[in-house]
Amino acid sequence: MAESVVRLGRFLALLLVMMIPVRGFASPGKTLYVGTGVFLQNMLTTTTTPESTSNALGQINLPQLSVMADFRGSSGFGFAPSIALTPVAIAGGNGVKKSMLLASLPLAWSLGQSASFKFGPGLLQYSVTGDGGTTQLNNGTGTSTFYLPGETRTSKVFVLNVGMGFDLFRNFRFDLDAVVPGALSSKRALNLMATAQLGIW
Amino acid sequence: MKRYVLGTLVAASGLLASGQANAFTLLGNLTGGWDTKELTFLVNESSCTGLGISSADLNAAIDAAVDIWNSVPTSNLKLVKGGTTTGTSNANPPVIYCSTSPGDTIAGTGSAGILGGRIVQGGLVLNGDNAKAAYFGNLTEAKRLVTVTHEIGHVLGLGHSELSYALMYYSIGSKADLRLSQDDMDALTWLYPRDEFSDGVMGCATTKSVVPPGSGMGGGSNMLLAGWLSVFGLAWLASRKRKEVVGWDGIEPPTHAFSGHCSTD
Repeated sequence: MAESVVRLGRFLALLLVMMIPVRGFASPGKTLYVGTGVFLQNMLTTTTTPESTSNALGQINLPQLSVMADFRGSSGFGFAPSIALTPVAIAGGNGVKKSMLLASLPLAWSLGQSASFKFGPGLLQYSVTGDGGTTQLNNGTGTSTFYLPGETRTSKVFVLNVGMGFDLFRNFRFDLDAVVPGALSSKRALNLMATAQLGIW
Repeated sequence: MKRYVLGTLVAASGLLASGQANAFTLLGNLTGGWDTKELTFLVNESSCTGLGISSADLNAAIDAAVDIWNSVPTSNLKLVKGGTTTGTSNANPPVIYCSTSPGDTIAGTGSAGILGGRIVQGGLVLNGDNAKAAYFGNLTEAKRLVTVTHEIGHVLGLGHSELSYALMYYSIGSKADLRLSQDDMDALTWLYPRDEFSDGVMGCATTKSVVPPGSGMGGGSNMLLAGWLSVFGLAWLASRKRKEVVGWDGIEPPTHAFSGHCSTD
């Protein structure tokens, strides 16, 4: 946990250091945005029906707070680092909670006056935690005692981020990003991050 | 205005927090699953001659189960279907075999032996008694896949879920296809979390980090940091070159020059 905090701190420090000089040559308009969004997790593969039919949208239960910097220069080329995180861990029925943090640094290209294309690497940190204890559940012939997770476990996977940003009106933008972990492996999955953000600086 | 918009965004965020809950459980008081990143299953095909399906169909079911558990992006566990065995009990590596011992309504049973909070042995038994209602050979193809995958989940340390759509729900009665729920994926993630800082990127073998152990960032993060810094440098150079053309702060110089003059009108 402490190591994760240190890594997050380093990333934030790096982002801050980058913003100071870049602010000078960024396009007129806002450089720093904050907002919120949803993370559609494991689209097309998971199920939410007892019949196990495919759920195109995947899991939609991770509201995100996001911070994004838009470092496109006047050439229309630059990059758009962002961090999105779960402000409050999502709690389940057995005290099991999960949260995520997505840090990405895609390259960004302007597409016309009000849109941009993004492509680049990122890091997805996904945590599942629980309070421990036991519960009684059906085992097919009666009930059995099952155990609940009692610690926090965190996965850290590199992701490929491909997305579009749209300037809807002054100081307000909407971003749609495909987040693909394991892009070159059998563990490839499709997540979608949709965020609405307000320019603050 | 900004405060109003931000407040609305945060409120919307809260409203969206009503997604599906997690409800997975563990088979025992586990601190982790098997103490390995690659787990091989052995198959006792000779015990399954009375299973009512061909060897090819049995192996297809096992392959499907292995593939779907291997697809979880946030888990580092890799399952492998190994060779054959004559074992008919829990073992390490775990064994898949057939028996007439499961109950009338039990198509299969997966179990794990736990020592010190970790799984040290396991096995999966399929119901090979054609006199029983849950005889494996009577199941549809979809339910065979679901049964084997569910029982392998137990061998990996997963308990039942209270969510009816989870693969690890106690009953397969309504299942018409083989799919994991996010709850199943979260359970596997908890038992076998994937850390590409130490596991290697995208399934590649772990590479030794040039950073001494305990010094913080590993090889993966160094690579990411170096990549990001390179991107930053390129972006900065590109913008700087452009700036020399258009002027300070990227603002285009006015195309219409204003000069002072006096009108005689």
